[in-house]
Amino acid sequence: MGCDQDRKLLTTAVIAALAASGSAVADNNESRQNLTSNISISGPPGTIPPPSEPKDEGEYRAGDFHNHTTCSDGSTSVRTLTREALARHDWFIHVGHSGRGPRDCRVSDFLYHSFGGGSGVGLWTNTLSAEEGEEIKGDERLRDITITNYDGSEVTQTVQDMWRWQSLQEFNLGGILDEREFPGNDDKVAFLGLEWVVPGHEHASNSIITGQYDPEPRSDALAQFEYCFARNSDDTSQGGGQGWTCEISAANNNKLKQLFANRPEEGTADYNSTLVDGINIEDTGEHVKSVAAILWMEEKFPGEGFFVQAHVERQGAYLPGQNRGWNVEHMRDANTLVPDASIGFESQPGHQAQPNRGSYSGGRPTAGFWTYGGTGAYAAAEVSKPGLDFNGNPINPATTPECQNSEVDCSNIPRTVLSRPGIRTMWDALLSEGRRFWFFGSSDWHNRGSFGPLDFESDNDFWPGEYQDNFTYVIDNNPDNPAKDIVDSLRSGNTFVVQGQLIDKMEFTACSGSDCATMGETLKVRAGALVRVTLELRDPEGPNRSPYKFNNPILLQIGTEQPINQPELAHVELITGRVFGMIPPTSPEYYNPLAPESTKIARQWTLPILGSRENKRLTYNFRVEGDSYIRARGSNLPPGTPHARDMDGNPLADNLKDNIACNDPLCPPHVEGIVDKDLEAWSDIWFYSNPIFIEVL
Amino acid sequence: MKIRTVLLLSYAVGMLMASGVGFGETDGIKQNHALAVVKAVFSRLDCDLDGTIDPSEVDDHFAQLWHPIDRDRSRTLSKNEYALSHRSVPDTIGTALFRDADADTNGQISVTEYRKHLERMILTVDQDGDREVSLTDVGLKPMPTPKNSPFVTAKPQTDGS
Repeated sequence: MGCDQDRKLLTTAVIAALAASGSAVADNNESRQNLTSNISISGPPGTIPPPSEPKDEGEYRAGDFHNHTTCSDGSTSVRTLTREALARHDWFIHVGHSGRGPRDCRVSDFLYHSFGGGSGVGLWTNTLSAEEGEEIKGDERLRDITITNYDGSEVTQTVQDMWRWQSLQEFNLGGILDEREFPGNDDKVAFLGLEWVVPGHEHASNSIITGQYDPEPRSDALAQFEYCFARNSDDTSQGGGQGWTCEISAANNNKLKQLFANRPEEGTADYNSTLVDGINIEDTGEHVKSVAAILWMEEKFPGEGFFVQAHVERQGAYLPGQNRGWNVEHMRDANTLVPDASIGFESQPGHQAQPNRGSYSGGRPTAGFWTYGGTGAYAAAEVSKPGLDFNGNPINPATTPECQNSEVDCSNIPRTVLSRPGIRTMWDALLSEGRRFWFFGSSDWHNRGSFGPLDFESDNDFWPGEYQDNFTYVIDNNPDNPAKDIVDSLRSGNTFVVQGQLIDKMEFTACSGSDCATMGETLKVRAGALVRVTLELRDPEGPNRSPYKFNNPILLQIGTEQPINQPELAHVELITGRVFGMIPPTSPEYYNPLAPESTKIARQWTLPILGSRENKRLTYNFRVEGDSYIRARGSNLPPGTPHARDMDGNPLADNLKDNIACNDPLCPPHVEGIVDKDLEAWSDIWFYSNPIFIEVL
Repeated sequence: MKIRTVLLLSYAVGMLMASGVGFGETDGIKQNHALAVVKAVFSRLDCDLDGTIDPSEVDDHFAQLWHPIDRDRSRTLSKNEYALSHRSVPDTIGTALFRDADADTNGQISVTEYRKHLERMILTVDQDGDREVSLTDVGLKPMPTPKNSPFVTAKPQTDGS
């Protein structure tokens, strides 16, 4: 122990001596000479030891956990989507909306002929085999389907929906199991999750892996979760007579009663008291029920589930008595009570090719109105409290500047959340409490909009792995249950998210002496210690998956000619913030989404310093003042790019890109002469790391 | 000259009223036009079955709306394709709707024009200004929820078609 301490002291002294110039350098963004001392292509300067190798044998593997098939409103069968996803990714979690539906998700429906109309070929009522004992279970729910015959005539048919708990339990896993056996997928991981339509809110991506890699794989646990907690699901059949009930333990119920005792507008705090025949089928405004669900997940299947709020800004603020969005207090609630399951949010939505990127828009109104460089305002910009401006005054639709945009609807003031470029994000507010709350992205694959599934263009979605990747550090601890390794890796926080294959490798460490930590971990140091942050990135040479080879119209604004499909890193930065400890629910700050003023850009690298080399090694030294965290992000557009970045490099709202013309002869017709839809997505790309925490002993 | 001018003006006003484009009482006709459109697409937009839709759901579910009616896969809608998608709408109203959708009057409805047309129709039906339209707003009734036999599988019912 003594030797270790001596070694640490010695190393610290060496680092301190060496960094006497280097650390000062890091604070001066204007000095190119000094900047260069902080970037190394060939190796670390001086005698500072390189970051230690990861302690565990593992590797970053890419995957997606939010996507859709004909199980809900997607276009492809489970098998088709699983095959497409595993062609690009190492792991794949298929989710579909909770609720009910008429379509058999073993059947693709690229042109939506069975979605409320069409041929009706792929409907459960036509595909189930009574001879094989297949039947639709649970309380009967019907819907009218208009079927169009080939001669153009139409007939209306009333058909029965299947509850999603049944399709999850009996049919969805089969297609995934088939693809696990597909040649080349031996080392890949695929299992089921659920895009839970959440009571009181919008959606969440989650899974319970229990049973899914058993010798005889089952998804009963996930199915029961869906039965108990899905919104717009009023089936009371106890899982078609399986005896399913939905209570939580008295201890967990007491946690809810304690947390929500003074918030009656968000549901009955005594959740267990709301159950009738073992279930609560009320939905509207039931935030308490949504937290009860996550408690149920962790209580019944500890360590086997996760919960991530999906496209978390899309539906604006939470409104009591309705089913809308998520506020900062809702992230805090779930993460406080169930930190091992409520592990983060998906602030980088899918639907990146839609005319309103991410399907975020001022007309909904989305919280913050738009995405910022493809990421929502909760992680990429600063947001106000719902219904208030940044000065704390009520939003006035007649005078608030943002509301004067004809595409913005401020008529529902409590639902309206303003945004502005900056780094004091809601995510940073959560990190500044020390919360282990991680950033994720997703494809949210449904279809390619008005294009067909085999087209290169899209005005809706990208396939999993075509555009976005969650690279998560997977350690193969459970060879018989690799799904557990994926969930553990997601929970660890050692994940980075990339758009448009901007980078395909990242090693991000903070070291003090020989002690190092990476994303999701905590580096423990003495006050005043010198910490060296190293960010190794690979900006791969050659084209990415974009179909567009002409020069990026956004970069042409500043005279840079660079093919869209060959992006290069133009901007990387480190963001730091102080950690002040958990905010109690009784504090008004619990409801404040603005991160503390201590959040700042600690270090920024731009061209030409970043250079064009494939591998980049960036370092930054700083002296620890207190508990803190550090995270990284970067993009292909430099600070000050008109309609895309402010002078600090922060992304601007994506509706501004409608002002950028696409005049190249190869510009695709569907973008109608502006930077929009999939062209916009491929032209403005980012990577986001998760944070490293630093704790002062 | 004066008589010709009056006749031309009368003809123009008559055409506007017939198409539902204009003001005053024609607003009522336009409301009916929008109702016809929204009623036809309601079930495809209300994916979460909560009985309400809003304009943003056009983007969310555009493929569901577009592919079944773009029959020749041209990524534009002809008058005939548009008419086939609104069979229950009388021809005169269908003509007015097509004219509303075909903003650049080139005789084809583009993807963008169709998106904006549908959003406009939903907002037209939305009389209370909350940007939401319910089943009852468009004269549709929720499907009945049988209360019997919760634990027994019921055979699908059809209307005999």
